Amino acid sequence: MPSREARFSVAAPAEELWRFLRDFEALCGCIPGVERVHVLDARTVELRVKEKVGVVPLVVDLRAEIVDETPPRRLHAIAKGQHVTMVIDVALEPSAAGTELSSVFEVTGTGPLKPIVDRLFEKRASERTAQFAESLAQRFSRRAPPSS
Amino acid sequence: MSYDFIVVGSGHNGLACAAYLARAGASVLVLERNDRVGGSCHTAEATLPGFKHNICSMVHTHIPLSPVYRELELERHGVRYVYPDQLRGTIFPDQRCLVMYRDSAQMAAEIARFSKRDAATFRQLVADYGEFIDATYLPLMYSPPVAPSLQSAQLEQSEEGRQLLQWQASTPVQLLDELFEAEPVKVHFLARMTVLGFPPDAFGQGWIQLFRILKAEAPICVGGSQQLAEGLRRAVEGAGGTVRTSAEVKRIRVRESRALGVELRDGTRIDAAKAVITNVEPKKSFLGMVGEEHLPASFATRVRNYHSRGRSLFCLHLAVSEPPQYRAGADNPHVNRAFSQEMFCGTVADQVQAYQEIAAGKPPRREMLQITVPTLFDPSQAPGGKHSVLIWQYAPYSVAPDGPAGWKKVRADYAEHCLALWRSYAPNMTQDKILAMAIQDPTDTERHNDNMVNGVDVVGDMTPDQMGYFRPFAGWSSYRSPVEGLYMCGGYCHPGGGVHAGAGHNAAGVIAEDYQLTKWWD
Repeated sequence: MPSREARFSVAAPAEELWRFLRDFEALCGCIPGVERVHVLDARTVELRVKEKVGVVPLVVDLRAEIVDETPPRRLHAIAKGQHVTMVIDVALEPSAAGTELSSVFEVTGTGPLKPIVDRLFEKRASERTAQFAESLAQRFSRRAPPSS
Repeated sequence: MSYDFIVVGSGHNGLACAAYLARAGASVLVLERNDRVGGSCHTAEATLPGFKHNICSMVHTHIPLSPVYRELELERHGVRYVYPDQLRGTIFPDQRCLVMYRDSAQMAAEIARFSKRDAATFRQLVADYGEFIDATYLPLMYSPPVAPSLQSAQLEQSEEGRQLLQWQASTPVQLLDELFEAEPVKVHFLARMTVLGFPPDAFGQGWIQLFRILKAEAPICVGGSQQLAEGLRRAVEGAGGTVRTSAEVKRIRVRESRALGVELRDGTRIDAAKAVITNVEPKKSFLGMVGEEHLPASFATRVRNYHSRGRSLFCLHLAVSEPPQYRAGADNPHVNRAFSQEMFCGTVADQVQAYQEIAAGKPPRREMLQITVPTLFDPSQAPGGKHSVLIWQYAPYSVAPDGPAGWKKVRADYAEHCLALWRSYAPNMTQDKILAMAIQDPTDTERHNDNMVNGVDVVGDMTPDQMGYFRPFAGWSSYRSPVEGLYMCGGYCHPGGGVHAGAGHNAAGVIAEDYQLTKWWD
């Protein structure tokens, strides 16, 4: 199963970062390629993600659900679409710079497009994770540094 | 005598399928009628001792990058590839040439010698579609075919996708006319299609043309094509499977729509506890070995309608004392070190006309030539300092008015005609440089491997009605058949003919799922 692990620091206390992560509209604004967000309830969201391969866009509609959480430390979510399932684990730990966010994304293509989805994830995951981290960093760099 | 799986035919797809299943823990038997394995992966001393000639396959474009090579550890089993310096060289009647390079910037610079606008178009195609093709080409080959509706559903959501859908519907010639202005550039890229047997003017193949513009490689199997088959055999046997040569399957035993096993020509019966997998082309497999009485009528009709009417190849195998030197080397010296030199006249219309002549049973009089000298890159295929050469000329299987038998009358003259055409481009290839020659007309090709019906080297026409989801038959492109426990794994299945082992790989995946074997490679 293709997976990516990412770990980076965000200049905000864990509670603030947690509130951000739990605000689907705000969070999706930092996820590359998200085009449409429809919040169903506090734990469930539908989103459309567009991933361009060259000029050819691949469009994926996902329904993401937080299946387990320990505020403000851990979150486990599953996102499913027609051709893909994503399992997302996020952990927040206080650090000298604010909060260290570590995440593991496991992506599995499903059905006939599985080989293409898996290959695309392998090619793009690191780049997209870095973009997500950069978006978060920019989002929180506007705030005052966290108090220790 | 019983095995979990019996594979009929030891072509590279059958061997690959068997190797995957054997490594999944199944007992596997591969049965081969001939005294050697490999089907079209066949290397023989067809001219003189020490000169190795590749009888039905030369280039294994996808194998080294494929999951098959990696997963079956073919390098460990002795299969190695070498890569020519340049990919192809298309030579035109005015002795200019267009060399195909791996590096897209170098390729664009080469195209710019003919048209700056076409070079810009090529660069834009690479930017727009290069990554898309990289991301989809191999995954689409090495997985069961995707339903057209699924492809369309994704692509129709965007303008760029809709353009791809329209390109897919067009003919190769239409697409090339839309994209490029310089005739030599179009001739070169059209040849990328016709060398694989794709007709130049068939609708529904524009997308493949796009793939062929942007994706190319030319690996040569060290020691000859046969070495791939030998490596696959070692992979099967290394995993505990059994390969038997000189064992001809007379029929696939079926009772109440279930395959039970096989019966050999000598009367030996071998049971298949789980399934029989046939690598033999559809008509022989289903109408011959199974029998129409065991098939649904609609399926039998589709088998009968499976067609191999496309162009074949007239081949000359030469042992030569020196390699050809092309006049076009003055235009670009790299042409002499390309995997192949191709002479398809000067216009797109010439290739279209050649296909029309072939359909009418006329061997083209003008050059439709591809030349490969594998010994430039793998000296082991000839005695020191000498070379083996393969010459192809597009040709019909049936020669009017006598049909296939007509080749007997014309083959010697046609061979001389092809040599004369070649010499007009490579004047050093005088008679004294040719140490020996073996002629292989399309009927010989079919005799070498009768899966190549009518000498069609891609095991059934690669036309839109017999590709992807429709190969070999709509509704039966999943490698399963209507007979329970009988599967298909040959080049007549997706992704089609050619040496890539895609069908064997994909069939093994389906079979492993059906029999709940561990897909150790997934």
